[in-house]
Amino acid sequence: MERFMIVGLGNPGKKYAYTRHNIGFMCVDALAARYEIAVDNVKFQAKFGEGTIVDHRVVLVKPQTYMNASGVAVRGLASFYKIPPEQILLIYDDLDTPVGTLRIRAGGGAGGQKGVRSTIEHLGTENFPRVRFGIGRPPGKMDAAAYVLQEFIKDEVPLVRETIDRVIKGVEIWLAEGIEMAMNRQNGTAEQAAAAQPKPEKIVEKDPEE
Amino acid sequence: MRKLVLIALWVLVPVLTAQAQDATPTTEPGVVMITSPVDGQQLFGLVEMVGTAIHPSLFDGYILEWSNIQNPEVWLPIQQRVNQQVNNGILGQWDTVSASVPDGIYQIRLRLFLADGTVQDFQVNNLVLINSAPTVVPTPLPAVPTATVQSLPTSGPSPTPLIQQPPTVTPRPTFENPVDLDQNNTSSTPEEEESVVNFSAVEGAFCLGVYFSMAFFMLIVAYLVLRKQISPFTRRLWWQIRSEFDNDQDY
Repeated sequence: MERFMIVGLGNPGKKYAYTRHNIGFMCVDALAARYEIAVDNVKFQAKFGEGTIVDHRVVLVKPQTYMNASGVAVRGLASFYKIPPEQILLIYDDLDTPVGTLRIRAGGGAGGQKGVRSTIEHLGTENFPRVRFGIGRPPGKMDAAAYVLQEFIKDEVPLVRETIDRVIKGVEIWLAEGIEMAMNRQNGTAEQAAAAQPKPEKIVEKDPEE
Repeated sequence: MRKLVLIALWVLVPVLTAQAQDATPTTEPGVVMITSPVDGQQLFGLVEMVGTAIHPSLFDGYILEWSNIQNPEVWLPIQQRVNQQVNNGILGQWDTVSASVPDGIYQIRLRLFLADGTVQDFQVNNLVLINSAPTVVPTPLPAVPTATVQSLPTSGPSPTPLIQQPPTVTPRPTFENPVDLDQNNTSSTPEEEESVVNFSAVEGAFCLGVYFSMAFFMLIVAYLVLRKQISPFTRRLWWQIRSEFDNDQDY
């Protein structure tokens, strides 16, 4: 059975555990909790665990290299499991979209995210799917690096939890139906995603006399 | 029986003939020779005939004659009989213009008369007389005929013979320093020089092509061999270069 890899980007240590920059780790933890996958193996400078999500073998990965060297861990595990880039899903924070917004893509540039840049450099390609988790722009003239290392404010937490649930749904759709379908159903805000969900088929009850 | 007689005749006749020849008095041969003109030579105007007509004891004179190829049996005298021996000298002159000899192919004969009544001949054939289009070169090489007469002269008024001149060598553009191309070939003809230059150029181009092809092939092989080793480094370098031009705010 072919494997898929889901990589959540973040920085190791309790100090960064609930920062905006660690939203990738949070998503992976949520997936691990939902599907009871123990992410406790430590190798290739990463924590990782293998399990099954919607009948697909999946490796959940949390690089422990700090953000700007995440590609080292991704490349090591991808080589170990022989997983091609198109079967590696990267989940990371996106400064360009507001909290509660998802942007699932089949490929693309780093957009200034150092973890993504490192992964692109080590995989040698931009063509791997990713989930960009909106964390909003820094207020005023605040430095972006300082902003992403802040924790979410209390008002944002419910929306973040809701968005993490959408990430889990997006991962399930990606594994089951492909990246295009995941993009169609989960991109945008929660309202936009709800509008894009497939409508249940109307069941027409046939008259037994006919 | 008949076969035996024929065989005997076949054997005896040569023997008897040889004995008869031995019995007759022999005539010492003289020297009869025309050294100029030679066979196949072009003639025009006053033709000087050089040669030898001598005999040590029985010389009785010589005569020069010409005949047309169309009537080879009819010999006409070029000059009157000469009673003086000539040893490698001028035997006589044939003034073809004054004698109104039409252009054509002729043969001349030197006849040496001996006192015992015998005659010794020397003949020069295929002499081409061209008075209508005289050539500048008086002594062409016999091996390379310079002109061919297609129409032969007739006894009556004849049209001007059509002469096919040999193809002339078209001057070729010369190289400024041909010695550099082939230093050993200092006396080559234009054709040879041209062929040598072309060959060298083609050879050089071929060698250059082979070298470039081999270098290209070796580069490909080296890349294929080292591809796995160098590809991570080249990819990282490429993406690092790209990231330098990335204007996004890093975080």
